[in-house]
Amino acid sequence: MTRLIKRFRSIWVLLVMTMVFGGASLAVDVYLAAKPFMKYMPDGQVIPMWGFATANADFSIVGPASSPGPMITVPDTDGTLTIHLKNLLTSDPVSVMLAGQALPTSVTVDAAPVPVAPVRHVGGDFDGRVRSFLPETPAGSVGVYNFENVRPGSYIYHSATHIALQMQMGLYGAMKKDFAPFTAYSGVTYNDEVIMFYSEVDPALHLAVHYGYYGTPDYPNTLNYDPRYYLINGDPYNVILEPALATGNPGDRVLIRFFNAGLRDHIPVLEGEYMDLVAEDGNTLPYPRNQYSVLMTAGKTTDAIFVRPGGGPFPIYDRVALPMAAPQADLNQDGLVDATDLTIMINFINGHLTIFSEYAQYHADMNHDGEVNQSDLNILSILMAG
Amino acid sequence: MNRARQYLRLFLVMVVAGLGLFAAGTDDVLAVQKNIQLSSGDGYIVMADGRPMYIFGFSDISGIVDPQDALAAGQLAANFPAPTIVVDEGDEFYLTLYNVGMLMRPDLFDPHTVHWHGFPQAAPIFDGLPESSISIGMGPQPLTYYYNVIEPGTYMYHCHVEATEHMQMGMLGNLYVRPAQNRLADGTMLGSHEHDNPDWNADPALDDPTVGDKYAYNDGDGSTLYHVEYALQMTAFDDEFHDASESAQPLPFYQMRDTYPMLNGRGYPDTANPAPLAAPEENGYQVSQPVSSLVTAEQGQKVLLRISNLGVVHQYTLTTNMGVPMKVVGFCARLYRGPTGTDLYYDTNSVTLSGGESIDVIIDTTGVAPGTYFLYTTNLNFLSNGQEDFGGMMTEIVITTP
Amino acid sequence: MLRNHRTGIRLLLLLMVAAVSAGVIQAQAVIPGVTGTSFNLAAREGYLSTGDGNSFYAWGFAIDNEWMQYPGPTIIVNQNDAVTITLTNDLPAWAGNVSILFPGLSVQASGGQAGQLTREAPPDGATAVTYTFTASRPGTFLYHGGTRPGLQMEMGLVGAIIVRPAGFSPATPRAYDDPVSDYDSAYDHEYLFLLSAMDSRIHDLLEFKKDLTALDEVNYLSQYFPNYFFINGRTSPDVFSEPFVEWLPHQPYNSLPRMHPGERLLMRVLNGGLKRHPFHHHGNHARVIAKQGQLLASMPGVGADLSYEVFTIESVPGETVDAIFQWTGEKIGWDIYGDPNHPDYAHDCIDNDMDGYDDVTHEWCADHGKPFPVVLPEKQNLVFGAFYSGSPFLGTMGTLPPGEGGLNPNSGFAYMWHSHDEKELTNFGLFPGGILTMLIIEPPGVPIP
Repeated sequence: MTRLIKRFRSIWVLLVMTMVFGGASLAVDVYLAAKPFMKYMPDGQVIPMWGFATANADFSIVGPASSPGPMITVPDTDGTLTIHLKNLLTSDPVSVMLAGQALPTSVTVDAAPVPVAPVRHVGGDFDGRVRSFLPETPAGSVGVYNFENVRPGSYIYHSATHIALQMQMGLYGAMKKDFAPFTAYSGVTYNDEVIMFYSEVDPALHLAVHYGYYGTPDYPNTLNYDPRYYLINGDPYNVILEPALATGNPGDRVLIRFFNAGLRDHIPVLEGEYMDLVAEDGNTLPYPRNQYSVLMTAGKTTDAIFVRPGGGPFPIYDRVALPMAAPQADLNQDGLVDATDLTIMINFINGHLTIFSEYAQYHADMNHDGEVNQSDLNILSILMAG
Repeated sequence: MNRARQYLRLFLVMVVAGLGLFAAGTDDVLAVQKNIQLSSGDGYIVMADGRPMYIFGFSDISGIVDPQDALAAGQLAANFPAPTIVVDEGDEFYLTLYNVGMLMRPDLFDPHTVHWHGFPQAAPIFDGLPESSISIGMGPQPLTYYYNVIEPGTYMYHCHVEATEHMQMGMLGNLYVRPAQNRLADGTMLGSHEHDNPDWNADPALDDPTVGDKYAYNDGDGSTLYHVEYALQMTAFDDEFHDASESAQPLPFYQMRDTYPMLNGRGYPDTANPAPLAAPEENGYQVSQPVSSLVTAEQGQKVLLRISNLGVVHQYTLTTNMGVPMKVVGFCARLYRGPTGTDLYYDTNSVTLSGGESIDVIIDTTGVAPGTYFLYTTNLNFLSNGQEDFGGMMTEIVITTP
Repeated sequence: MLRNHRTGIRLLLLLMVAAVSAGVIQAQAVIPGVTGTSFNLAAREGYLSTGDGNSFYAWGFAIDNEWMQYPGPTIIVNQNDAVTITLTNDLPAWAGNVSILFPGLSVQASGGQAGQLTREAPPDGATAVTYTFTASRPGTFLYHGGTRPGLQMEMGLVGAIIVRPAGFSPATPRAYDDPVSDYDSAYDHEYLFLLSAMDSRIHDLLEFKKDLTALDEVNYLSQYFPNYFFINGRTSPDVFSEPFVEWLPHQPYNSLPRMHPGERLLMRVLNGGLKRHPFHHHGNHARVIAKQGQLLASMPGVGADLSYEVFTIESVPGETVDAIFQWTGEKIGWDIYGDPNHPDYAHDCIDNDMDGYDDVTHEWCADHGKPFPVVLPEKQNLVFGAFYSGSPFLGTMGTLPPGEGGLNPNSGFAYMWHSHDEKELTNFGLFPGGILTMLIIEPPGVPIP
């Protein structure tokens, strides 16, 4: 994708929506579906993900899912946002919350009201522990989550169910609301807007969920998180390539909305220039912070105003971006993942292979727990069978 | 050294401390003397997934008169976190530290210290940094630290001997200082806020700082007023490191990573258990995890969270799903205000602390519907107790109907 | 503002100590670097030594024909200077192009080849890229490799830039051109703290494979797991050695901050790596007056009225922090120089200007004469630190068992300044090491160069 299209991505989605639904705006009532999809990475890997997709009011038409999901824009004149969510996942329940905004005041599932309360495990190993911050919408059902008194700002919406898993799988997106037209907050006007939405992908988790071995001893939980891809506005970037800000006219106030739905820090650096950070998580700061970089911690949103000088473009690079690592499991480096690799792993685990290079060690540790053992063999077998 | 000399020594300490009582503490605040006796040694806790974990730590053995009794009182008694220390501005605080040795590691003769992290204008002799002063060796002789407590705020304390090892092993605790403003005369105007202090007494020893209006700092305007407070310390263990320590193996410093993230020494759901955790068999059935992380408040109350990070590997980000922001009013035990009085307070939905940092946030629960909410890390993979899902750095916030 | 206490020595013991102190551990009270307006840098290969006796391959910036150094030369210029930095690339062909990014500085690049973020110098040892900028704002800035910046910073291509404010006077130094106040940028000593980390496996891999694509086959960068941690390019305890010591030819800078009570110490804290380093400075709070080369001011001209105090400086990758540290021991509740009526500790506290402190030593006079509050245990129950003078009092030596102490010949007060991710206090798993240095608060009268 070219830089230009990346910049307009959110607007492109909006345009598509308008065309499909004949002008109905993503304003007060938003229709989303949570569904699985395949993400094709530039290095050839295909990652099973979960994402939100736009839909029409009766869910007879559902668009393609993406991660991050569609941008939700709440008009500045509206205080209520109602998200109608259809769960198109195979079996997991979902929900939706706006991080930083109040929980919904009312929820219905398949039109029946349910009390707004956390859902806990009943029985089993996790008896009593919270599983979902909000009422769950089971697979196949439609949940309606009604948010009132929505404040202006930039926010991340995401599933509130089994968040450690579902956030990673991709169930998140951006929501924005202005204070007034072209006014992000009282006194903070802007001419142009740029969205910078960061997220991460650890393929090991996605494969575990897709092939059904998540929660088994082979891949018990998300502790050994090891993201292999860093995404900006949904597409992976290598170490430094990011959409360059070539927006508007000199003198324009460019509102940059930063979001981080990843689990780690990202630090966008504006090359050669300074910007004013004006708000954090939808709350205006008492004084703008004049900085060239923004510390985006996990789950954070930050709004910055960049007064565009002449010249450009102005690159933004992620200070802690780490390069994509090669896909795993190709133990003999022949470009294929096949029975030969399986044999190598079996031999190593059974003690028949005494030399196992650092390269092979990394490629064979399928669940990132630091060891190459039966669990990794189980996983590789499942992947090859699948 | 015979008992008589030990008693004489203790007596001398008391006399010297007693002399301090008659000296003015700071400015107009009369000094109150407070004491605590801590033992330092080893012990056991139980993680939220049920596995026991060998630790080093402190234990409160206040009341020890004969130093020889310290050994019995402190053996395998390590708590995690260490006992919470709460003192008031103006106190003269004596912390007496006994090193009772490591029962499970008779091959170790590590000394210990107490480092009051962030104590302003510290002198090395009481700073607890072994490289620049002294540490206490094993045995009945204690080392007494003296602190003239003059700056309110949220601090933390830990052992600083072989810091990487002793801190990983758990010698960490909450420490905070209440401001003198709590003890102002009833009716004192702080800006437009009228201070309420029904049990005011000119003698600070008779004025309970928790009765009446409470503030995080001497804000002068009531802006850091709160109704309920909780100290929450973020830490994490590496279970392989602790197992290696228990079995006298080489310690894997290089491989150190966080596998058991915790709040106040527990992983979820134990964090939300208001009671001390059941005493483990491994330490002879001594309660070792008495500090809960459950936050409860009535709707409309202001909740002060005194958050610190004493993890040795990783920074953590904490958020809530309450839908009302956290207001940052203090950072690193200082009111978050510029030198000319400009408030730097800001509202946010998450705070991030690296090791050795502390922050004070006030959550105003006005308008928050009664119910159960969650305070948790957005570094979501750390919602784990080792290999167990649905755990880790999370606790519950219960808002009740007023 | 520079306070010189060579006169007015009142403590008998200090006279002896001062004689001893002459010629012992020398430390820089100013930051070493290169000055001017035109600089020729080259990216070169070299080896770094660490405190555990290891050494590994690295890249670094070199000035003119010098060897590469880590960090690169600290470039010291004046506000409004037109600065030109010319970069050539002496790295081997497999290392690829290099370039320089200057966060916070508006730089024009010319020459060389076009790169993704700026102009680049190919590894031919000849083609030069020219970076020019006007140092319009004073402060502390970073410069670092700009071609695959994550990798190039890891390999060692990073350095500091200091821009002196307009009207800078070495006799009364300031970091910014701000009005005089209690929270201004005036200082008596300034020290650089460029914090970073490295994973030597990455360096070993590149040294032997001589191929950048080798990194794609392992997860050393995607799952970053450093084993060495640096202040100004050295691990502890090498930080305590002299600057420009000949056995660390590629690591010229050290870290051993020293000051006297009452003085102001400017900490220029930069993060030249890929992970955060919480820099905890024992002894007192420090006031953060500027970040990212920007004074924390509500509006221009008012000074750092948005400054705040911390006990740990949050050093975030790519960010720079300027903070002022002070210490007097005030209100500690006991006399830090000992009992004034005792012949060994005789001293006065004379406060003619009525600011609460002795006019020369900055002793807090309200604590003058207050007794030491506890009885310390017998020596056989204690373990002593190498920086312990043997006495709790400033400027006094006490008796220590043979072999103990010794690193504090002036009997100052020592405070560890270190990363509070304690894992970073190691050299490849060996404690102590890494980001660990000591601030020595010397008794008044001890010369600090």
